[in-house]
Amino acid sequence: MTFIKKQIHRKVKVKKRLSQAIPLSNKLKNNIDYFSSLYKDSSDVIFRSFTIGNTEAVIIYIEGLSDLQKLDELVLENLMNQNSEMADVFESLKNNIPISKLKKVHTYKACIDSISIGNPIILIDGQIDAYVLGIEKYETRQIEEPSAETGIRGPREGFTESININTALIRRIIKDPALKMKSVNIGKYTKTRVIIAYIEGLVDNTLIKEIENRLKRIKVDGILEGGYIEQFIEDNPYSPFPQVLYSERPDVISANLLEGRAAILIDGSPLALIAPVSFFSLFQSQEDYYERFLIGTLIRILRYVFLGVAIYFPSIYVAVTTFHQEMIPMDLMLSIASSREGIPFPAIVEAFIMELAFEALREAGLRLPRQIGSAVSIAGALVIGQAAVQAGIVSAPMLIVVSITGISSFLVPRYSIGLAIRLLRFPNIFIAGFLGLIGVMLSFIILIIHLSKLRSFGLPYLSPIVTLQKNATRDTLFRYPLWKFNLRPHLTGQFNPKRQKDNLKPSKREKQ
Amino acid sequence: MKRTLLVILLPVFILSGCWDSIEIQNLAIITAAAIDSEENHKVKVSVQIFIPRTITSGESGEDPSLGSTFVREGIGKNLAEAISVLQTNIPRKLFWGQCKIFIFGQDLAKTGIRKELDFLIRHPAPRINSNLYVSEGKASNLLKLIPPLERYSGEVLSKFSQHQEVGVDTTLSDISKDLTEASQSFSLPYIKRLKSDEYARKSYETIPTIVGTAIFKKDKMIGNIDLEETRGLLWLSRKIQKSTVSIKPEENENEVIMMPTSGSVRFKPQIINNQWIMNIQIQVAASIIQNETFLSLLQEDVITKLEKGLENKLRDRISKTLEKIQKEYQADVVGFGRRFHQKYPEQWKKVKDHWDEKFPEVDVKLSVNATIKRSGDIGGPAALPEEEVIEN
Amino acid sequence: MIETGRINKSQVSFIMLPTIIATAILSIPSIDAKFAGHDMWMTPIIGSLNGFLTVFIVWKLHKLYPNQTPIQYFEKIIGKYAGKLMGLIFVLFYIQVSGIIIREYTDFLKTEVMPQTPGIVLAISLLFTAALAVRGGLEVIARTAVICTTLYMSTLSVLLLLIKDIDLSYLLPFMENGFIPVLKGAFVHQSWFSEFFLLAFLLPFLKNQNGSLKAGIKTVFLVMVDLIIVNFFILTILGMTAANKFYPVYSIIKSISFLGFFQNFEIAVTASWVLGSFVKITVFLYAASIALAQLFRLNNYQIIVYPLSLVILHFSYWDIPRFATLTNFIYKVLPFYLVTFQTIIPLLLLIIALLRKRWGENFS
Repeated sequence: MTFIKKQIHRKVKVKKRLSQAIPLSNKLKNNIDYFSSLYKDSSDVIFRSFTIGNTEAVIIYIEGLSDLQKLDELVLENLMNQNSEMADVFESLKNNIPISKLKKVHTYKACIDSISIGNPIILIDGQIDAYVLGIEKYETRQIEEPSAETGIRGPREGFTESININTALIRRIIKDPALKMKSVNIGKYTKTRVIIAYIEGLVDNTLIKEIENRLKRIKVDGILEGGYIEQFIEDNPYSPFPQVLYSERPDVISANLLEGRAAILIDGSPLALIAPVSFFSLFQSQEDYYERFLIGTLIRILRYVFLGVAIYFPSIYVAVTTFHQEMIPMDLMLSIASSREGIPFPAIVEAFIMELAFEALREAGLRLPRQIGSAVSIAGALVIGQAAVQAGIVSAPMLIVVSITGISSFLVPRYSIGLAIRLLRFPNIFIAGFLGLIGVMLSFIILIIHLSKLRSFGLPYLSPIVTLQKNATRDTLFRYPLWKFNLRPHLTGQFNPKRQKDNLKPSKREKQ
Repeated sequence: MKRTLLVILLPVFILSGCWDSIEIQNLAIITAAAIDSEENHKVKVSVQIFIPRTITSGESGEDPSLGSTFVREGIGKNLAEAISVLQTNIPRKLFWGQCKIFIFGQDLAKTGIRKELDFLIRHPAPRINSNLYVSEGKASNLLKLIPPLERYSGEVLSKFSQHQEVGVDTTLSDISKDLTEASQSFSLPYIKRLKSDEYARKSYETIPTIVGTAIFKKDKMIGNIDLEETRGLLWLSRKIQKSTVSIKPEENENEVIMMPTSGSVRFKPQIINNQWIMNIQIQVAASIIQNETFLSLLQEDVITKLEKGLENKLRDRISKTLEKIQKEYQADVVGFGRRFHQKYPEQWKKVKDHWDEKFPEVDVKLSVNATIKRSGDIGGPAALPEEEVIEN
Repeated sequence: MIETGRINKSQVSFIMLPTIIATAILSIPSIDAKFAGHDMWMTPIIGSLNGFLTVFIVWKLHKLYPNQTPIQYFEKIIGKYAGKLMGLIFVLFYIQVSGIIIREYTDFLKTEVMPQTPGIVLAISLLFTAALAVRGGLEVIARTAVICTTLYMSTLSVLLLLIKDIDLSYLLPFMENGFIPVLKGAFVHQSWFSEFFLLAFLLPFLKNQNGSLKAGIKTVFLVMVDLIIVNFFILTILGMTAANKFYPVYSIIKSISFLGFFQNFEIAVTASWVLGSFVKITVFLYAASIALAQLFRLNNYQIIVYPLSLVILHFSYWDIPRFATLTNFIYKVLPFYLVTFQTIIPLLLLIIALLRKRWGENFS
């Protein structure tokens, strides 16, 4: 009984020690006991004891997270060769270990944190401090082109899972010291390092405060990906529309930082979040800016047109063929009537079936191994569709409608809003079947109302168009030439307007 | 709790019915309609309905000469009743949205079509810019025709009216405007079936054609004019008639044939000393399309003589039509009344009520000014050795 | 201040444009044709005079009592009890007019587009959507209005496709029966222009108080131009048959036929009219909600939006058993009704307020 009580008591003690910043004991044995009990049953935590001169010392590290080569050559070799007494241990340590990152910590919690991220600690008998060696090293993916955000032009570098590499990539683009990286740790068991990046002077300080507050509010077991953070900090979790942007490309992140937004990088995920974001930023792709403005503008307009098509084409088709047949030109109507003879389902059911089938095909295509995946999606859609028309289950016009809708939903550059579009299609088909075009229009109005109510960290979702700022269409509907981008977009709060010199348009008659 | 209640109640409200929806398979698409009078003061309405054939299962082996339409009719005391009787003969709902052709039988037209017009204008389904026609004989016979080229005979008629400009192009909205104006007369194309002995497989494989114009006073048909006179009428409706004019130059049995290409028609009403005068000024440009004579067309005086001939010919043509309309039928289908109203509102007010009597008294002064702009690819007569060409 | 949203001047234009035009183009042109005949294209010019007058009155009252809605300054002008009474009457007025608007619009939809659907379903859908917007607050209303108005006005440009069908001779004879018929036609127009009084509920919430008069005048002018264009097209295409039709604009849109392919597009235009009516109903509902909330000193007005919409729904069906009653009401009663409440009474109140100010200055 007492033995068990002692174990429980010990566990409680350990727990207490974990949660409080209890200072180390200066007896090496106590510390080693403590750590051994903590890391019991973890075979990858290595305790290497040795002597420095006459004092006992031990290094605790996690195999696989630390650079063992450096540990052997730079640390152990140097320390074990120490013969003299150490007057000031830290001073001699500092001068004898050629490692750039060296820190002194006092508490158990700090030691545990350091060990968990791969920084070995040196415990020396008689010292109340531990020394943290910053020699973490672990395997990460090579920097390669992000697969979800490809483009013709632009850098081919993408973020990886290591947050140090990611911050380095951003620093390489924005070199000014005004770029700040604030660090926060979230998640009880994962202790994920989250960095808020922003350019001081461009960003509104209240925004950073707000982001920090929202991040500090999160008390969960673990953060695995940016999505977890996104869902905890967004303004309206019930909306299908994303209120933060995410991206894998450092050039996209940097461009947004330069416009006065803030980025949130998460260790362990290559995706960084950007806030605040407006509806129109979700339709911008970095390609638009790297190509010349005429193409950029036209492609952007195309995107908006096809956004409308992707959400409303099936519902308009259902509405027109069931309620308002007068609208169809005569010849088209006779063709549609001919092809719908003998089809057993009413148009609205047909639309639902086809859309669901298409969504199923798409999801299936995502999960299949790469070799089979693309073949199944394309061939599957075509063959199945053709066979269905031949069998008389669906009509050919419906097949065309669904295919065009499917293709248009791929025109959106950001996947997160593509999901919203796919979702919105279905209620629209439903309403079109009951109130015709009037219903479609009413659902459009409800969508606009929802978008008008939505805010992303205080920024109205549909600004700057609906707030009618000057030059609102400059970077939203169109893409004005870069030499017209004299002012930054006004997000919220304080505002640093000028971003480039006036009159930068290239001209033949410029004075040399 | 409140939100779940709302989410539950909303579909209940919507699912209670989709009242106006109707599948295309349940529609009978009407492509043309015909209205005749029957004995006992009844009205017969016949509609030409399109047969959608499935094109999915390859060629279904249907005989294409059967055509893609069929005709069904309904008889009732008035047009509305006839249509509802018609609906009982057709399992699908009648769909008027694409029907732009209405044909009235001659008998019905002679007794007056005002009652039918009220249905067509009041009911929201028939289109206000549909074309109307009058047929010789029973209108329903024309619906049964299967054209060799077009999909349904109605399409033939609308192409004639709108693209070929053979007859007048009168829509329901034109009629409603004309009948409320003072002139209260309008004209409709007069159609009948084309007798073609060409290689026709069945007797009904032919088309209706426009052979003249029916003249209506108020809402009754009082007569018709033939194709030649219709051309004159079209000139008066400001449509440059693209049909040939043949001139016999002096001392020549052969003719030079010309075709007007462009021009303008201007009306100028005048009231001088209580005499109502309508000046019609026509400018026309024509080109020569056939030269039967030996004359060389390169000489200017030859051309000017031909121009004079053209002007005379046109003047005759139009005058003949005017004669018929003004004196014989006394129906102002050309809109003179409206022009006087616009220019002389005071005097118009006085004669408004008896315009029928005043209209024949209007003195019409016609002046035509023609220019022959081109003569095709060649100047002199073709296929003629140079010695035989007459220079003047 | 129970409304915390702020809007800017251009948004006010976007809000007020469809508020006037949406029902003005439904049935007024046919009355214009009946009275003014061939001169019906001129009637909006004269009608707009009342628009300018109403905007001026609203602006002057706003200058005297900035940051206050009419309900609040009624009490200041004519005393606490009379002011409250007047406020209550205004609330009832707006409720009834909203009901008429809903009824007018759903009747139009029922006649032309969806005959089998019960009118109440259409009314509930429209009111529900408007209530959603009003509950979101003034900023949401303004933002939604920007988008809806842009789309609505761009589909009105489809009238341009009719240019090849117009017959300019219908413009003559000019002033056939003198000027009086024009005035008669204009009388109906000017009552619609008096709806600019709704600006009084928007002006207190402007971000930047300067230049509101110019914005208001500009909006009146735009509305006038738009109505002239609509009347012009109706006149030149339909001639005098417009007087007999219930919905002349709808009739001319039905006859658009372009390239032989773009025909029968009236349903699409009707669908875009839903956008315009939506903005109009939203603004009226908003005015009624704010007025009622301020009258009873409530903390926020969102909670009465839904109940108020139910009341308006009831008003749209009460006492109007058939279309003839509605038509008579719109043609004979509504012109006087609207102009009394939205121009004449505010004018009287303005005069009283100015007099009070002057007397106040004299005595202090």
